[in-house]
Amino acid sequence: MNKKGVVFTIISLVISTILLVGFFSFLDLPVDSQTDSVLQKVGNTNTFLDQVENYIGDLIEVQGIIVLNELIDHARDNGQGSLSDAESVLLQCFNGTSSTISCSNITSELDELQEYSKNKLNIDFEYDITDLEFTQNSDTGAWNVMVNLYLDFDIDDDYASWNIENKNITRIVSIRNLRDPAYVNKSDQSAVTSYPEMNITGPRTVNFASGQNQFENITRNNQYIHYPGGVNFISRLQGTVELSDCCGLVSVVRPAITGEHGDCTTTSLASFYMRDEAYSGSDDMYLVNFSKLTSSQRSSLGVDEDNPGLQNATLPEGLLEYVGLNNSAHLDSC
Amino acid sequence: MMKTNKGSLFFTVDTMIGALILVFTIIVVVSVYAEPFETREPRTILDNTVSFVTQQDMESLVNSHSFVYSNPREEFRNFRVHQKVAYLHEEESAASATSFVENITRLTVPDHLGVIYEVNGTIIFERDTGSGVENTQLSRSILTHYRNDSETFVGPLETRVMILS
Repeated sequence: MNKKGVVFTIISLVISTILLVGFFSFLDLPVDSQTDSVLQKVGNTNTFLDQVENYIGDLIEVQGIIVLNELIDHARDNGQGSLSDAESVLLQCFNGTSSTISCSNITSELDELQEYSKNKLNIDFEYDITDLEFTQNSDTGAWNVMVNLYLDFDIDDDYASWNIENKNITRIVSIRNLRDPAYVNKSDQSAVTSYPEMNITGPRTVNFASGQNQFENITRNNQYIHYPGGVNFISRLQGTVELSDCCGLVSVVRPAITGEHGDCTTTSLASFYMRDEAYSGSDDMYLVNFSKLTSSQRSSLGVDEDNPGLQNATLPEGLLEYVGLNNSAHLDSC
Repeated sequence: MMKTNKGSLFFTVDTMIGALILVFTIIVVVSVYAEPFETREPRTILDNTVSFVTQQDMESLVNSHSFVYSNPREEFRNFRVHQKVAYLHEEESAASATSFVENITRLTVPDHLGVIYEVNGTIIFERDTGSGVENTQLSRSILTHYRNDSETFVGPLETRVMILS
C-alpha cells in the first residue's frame, strides 16, 4: 500500500481535532433547569453583596444625624461632661447597648435587612457591630464628621458562605443645621434663650477688602465660621476645649444681640467654650471684645478703628492665640 | 502503469476521505452555533439589565442617556436607577415609575424578549414576548433602598427583574 495515500486523511484529522477542541472550549452548553436555578441563586447573592454595603452606609449616614441630635439634647439636659467620650457613646447608640442615654440605634434596621434577605432571597445574613470611630480631620473639614463603623458579616446561601471580619464602612455626615452643642449646653437657660440658637450653617461668601483672602468659609450675622484654632464640633459635643486647626469653629455674634448681656456691646467675634476650666472653672460664655484690645493691638490685627464689626475687621490667623485663651483680659463674660 | 494507477487511486481516495472529515467537522461546529441561544441570551440580558439599574446613577443617566430620562433638575443625582424607580413608585406616581422603566427596558431588553419589573411585589412595568408563549422565566432580586432626606431612610425594598422568553 502506498503510505502517501493516508497523508491527507491524517492532516484533515489533525485539523478537525484542533477545530473541535477550539470551538467546543468556548461553547456554552444548554443548561438543565437545576443549573439555571443555581445560576439564578448565585446571581441573587452576588447582587445582594453588591448592594448591602451601600445600604448600610446610607443607614449610618441617616442614623448618624438622628443620634447626633439626640446627643445634643442629652448634653442640653444633663450638662457638660455627660458626653466626655462621644465616640464610645455613639457606638453604644449604634449597637443599641446604651443604658444611660436615650438614643436610636441601627440594629432594628439591620434586623429588618436580615428578615428581608431570609424571606426574599433565602440568604442568612448575620452581623455584629464591633467598633466605631468618630473623627474630624482635614478630609472632613469643619462642617462634617466622619463615622467609621466596623462590622463582622456572615452571609450564607445554600451554596456558599462568606465570613467577613472587621468590614469598615465609612460615611461623612454633615453637621450643617445641627444645633451647637456648646451653646445649648448652658446651665443658665434663660441666658441661652435670649440668644437665638445658632444653627451651624454652611459658609457664605462675604466680600472682604483685598488682601483678606486668607480665611476660609467666612460668614457673619449669627453664623459660624471655620477658624483654625477654634473649637471643633466633636469637642463641643464632649465638653472639651481642644483647639483644632483643620476643623475649628467660632461663632459670630451681632453686636445688637450681645448688648443684652453685660459688657458685650461691641463684640463681633465669639467663641463659646463649654467647660471653662481654662478661666474660672465656671460654665460661662466668653466673647472676644475687640474694644478691650489696645489700639496698637487692634491695628496689628487690622481692626478698623471706626467700625470694629466683623465686616470691617481683619481676622488674622492665630487671632485666638493672640488674644490668649489663658488671658481673659480680652474676653467678656456675658 | 498499474502501479501509477493504483497510486492515483489511493491519492484520490485519501483526498476525498480527508475532505469528508473536514466538511463533517465544519457541519458539526456550525450546527451547534446556529442553534438559538434559548437560555444563554436571556441570562445575559438579565445580567446586563440588573447591572444597568444597579450601577448607573441618575447623574450619568441624565448626561449620557437623556432619551431614557432627561430631567436637568433631577434632585437625586446620586440615586442608582433602581433606587429612583422605587422612589418614583413610593413617593410620586405609578405612571412616572412605569414610564421610566419602559424607557429603561427599551434600552436593555430586545423586543423579542418579555420583561417584568416589580417593586415590593407590585408590577411596575410588564411586556410580553409577543409570541403568546413564554417558556422560560429568569429573575433577579435586588436589595433596594433610598433616602428621602437627611433623616428618612426607606428600605429594604425588593426590586425584581424578570426576563421572559
